[in-house]
Amino acid sequence: MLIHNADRRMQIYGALLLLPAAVLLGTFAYLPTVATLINSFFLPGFRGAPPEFVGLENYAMLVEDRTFWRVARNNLIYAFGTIPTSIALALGMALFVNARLPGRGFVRMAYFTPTILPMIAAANIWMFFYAPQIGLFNKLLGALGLSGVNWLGDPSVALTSVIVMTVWKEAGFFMIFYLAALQSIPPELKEASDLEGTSRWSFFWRVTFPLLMPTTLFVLINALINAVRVVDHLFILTKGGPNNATNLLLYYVYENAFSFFDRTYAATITVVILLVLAVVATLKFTVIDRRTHYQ
Amino acid sequence: MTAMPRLHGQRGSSMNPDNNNQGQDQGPQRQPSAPHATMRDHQRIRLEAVSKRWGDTAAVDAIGFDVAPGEFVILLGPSGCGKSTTLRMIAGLEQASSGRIEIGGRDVTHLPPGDRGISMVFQSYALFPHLSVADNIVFGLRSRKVPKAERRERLARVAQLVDLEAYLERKPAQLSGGQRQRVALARAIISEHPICLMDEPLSNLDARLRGEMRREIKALQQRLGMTVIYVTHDQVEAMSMGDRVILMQDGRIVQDATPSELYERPASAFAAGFIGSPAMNLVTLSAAADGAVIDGEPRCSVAPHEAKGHWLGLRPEEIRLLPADAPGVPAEVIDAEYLGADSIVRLKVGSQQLRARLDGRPSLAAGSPCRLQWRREAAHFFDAGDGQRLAIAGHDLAAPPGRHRFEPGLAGASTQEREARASSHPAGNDSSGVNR
Repeated sequence: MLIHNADRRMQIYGALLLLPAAVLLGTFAYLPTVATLINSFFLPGFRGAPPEFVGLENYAMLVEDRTFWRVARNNLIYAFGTIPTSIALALGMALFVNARLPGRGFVRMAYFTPTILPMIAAANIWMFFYAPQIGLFNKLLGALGLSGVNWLGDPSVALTSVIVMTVWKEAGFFMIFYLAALQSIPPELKEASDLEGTSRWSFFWRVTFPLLMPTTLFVLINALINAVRVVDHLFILTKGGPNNATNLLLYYVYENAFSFFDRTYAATITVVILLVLAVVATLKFTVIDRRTHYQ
Repeated sequence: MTAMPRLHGQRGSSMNPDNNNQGQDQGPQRQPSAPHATMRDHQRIRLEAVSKRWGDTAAVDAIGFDVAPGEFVILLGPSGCGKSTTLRMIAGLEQASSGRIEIGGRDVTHLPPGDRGISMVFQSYALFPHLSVADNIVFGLRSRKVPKAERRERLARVAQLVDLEAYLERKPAQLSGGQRQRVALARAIISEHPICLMDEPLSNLDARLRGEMRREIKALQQRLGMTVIYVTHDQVEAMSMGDRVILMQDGRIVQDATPSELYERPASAFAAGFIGSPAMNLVTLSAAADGAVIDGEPRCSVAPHEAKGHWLGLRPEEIRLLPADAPGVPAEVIDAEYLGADSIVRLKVGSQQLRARLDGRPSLAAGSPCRLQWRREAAHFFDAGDGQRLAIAGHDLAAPPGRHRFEPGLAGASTQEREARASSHPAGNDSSGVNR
């Protein structure tokens, strides 16, 4: 009986320790998720009327919505444009600053600076780079005698411009993870392969890259989530325009909820985003995890 | 003959291989430029005034030595003495600040490691954690673009050699320490480089495994005729494996000699103290009327006058304990530490302390008086200033009592006293078996 009581007390103790985190997560993550799912089955009630249950009608509308597909396609291009580029750049920068070079600390700092900047501030800086008349890029092009590009105004260029800015912002952040992973690789491995006359290139592909796989997986998941989650720069740079050329899923959700006041439709899109993200993350973990060596 | 077998006798079976080594190494080591060695001259390693400096401190200070083909050379020394740095400079992993390194008559001082024709075994093994044992072993062959068929054939041969056939598909993390060590060895052997450098390869293993691997590495080296430079701080490894031992201290070579020379004729007090377990006794000598005596024990002189003020070095296993009425240096037992095959007895002589290694378990009561003797050749003398060996011969202590080096008055009184005590404590009775 005494043991039973002590056991029970331990359980309560454990539950109490979990409580703060559970409350926070429940209130701000799980509850909204469930509420969103429920909302997506309703039409918004206007002028104080109660919301009307419509089942899957919102989802049917979504399938018909050409803007949604446009935005989804944009987001896919955005993801494919930002993720591999920023990861490759991050790895390259990490390899560079991991080597012995003068002013290494300064270079590391410089690479990491974009990450410290808030997205809004970074977007403001890039506004001045991209601005059609006074912008840095067009000034440079003008100096070379080339006519400028309307970086953010031209629908065929705008998305690429947004992608470039995002890569600039994210690469430094991912570099930190790669740098940490590189420093955990014992230097003797390099020495052992040097003794066999292994070239740098060969050492990278046969040793360094496989040993960095856990980091790559982690960064990949993070980059994917960021590609869908971070849209702050759109508020400053393009507001999703011109003609939805740079509109991304989350920004489209925001527009629906707070510009068009169609909160249940916004909820529907959110549910779809969550589902897609969950499926992709599961795939990545099951497929890549099997080929990854964890130390 | 007394010294070596005793040292190894207590440690088990390494006596025979060691004696073999001593026999063999005389050839290449004594005459490094012997003509018969020219056919394998690509294995010769020569260091000339090689230094490594970081800022103002010299980790390795103008070191020079020759390694003959097929020789097993040990770089021995306490941590921080520069032995690993020396090895890494030979490997090319560290650039020499000055001096010249030759391998096979070729100046390799500025060559990258991969072009020096050497393999290396690291203390941490440096296995690639994501590769299987087989892939780890053939890693270098793939770098050197060896055809697949040959790779497989060489892998099979080496795996058999180091007894790893059953583990080829495993990852290093699934192996025991000894097996990992074997993978590292296999990786060095499969390259078929005639020279292998080893940087404390056994220090991560437990004591039993270390003994096994010691014999295995030595056997492999002899079977494959490899030239090995082996870094260690473990004197047992150095004595049992090396054809030649280079003892280092503070970036310099203290002594470069065969294990038996190192043991029997240490070049300095440092060398004397580093080799042997327990280490050689070093006691201060002071002046007396008839020669140098152990400080605080004026009754028995142990060396001629010129030894006074310097150090006398005595191996614990060379000291014989005799009854108090025998000739020799008067001493008093402090305590005895029983180790199984033998015991370490601490003795007080004048103001100095000595340790003696005695067979079995001598029944010595603390405080009982006794006499010490040693062979003339067993007494080493070292300069009190720089620790260098002095060419002084000690007195013969086994001479009958009553000779001139006993002070007449003192000797008579103390002899009676000692006889009385010796009968009640049969302290010296075991001494007949001691040390000879």
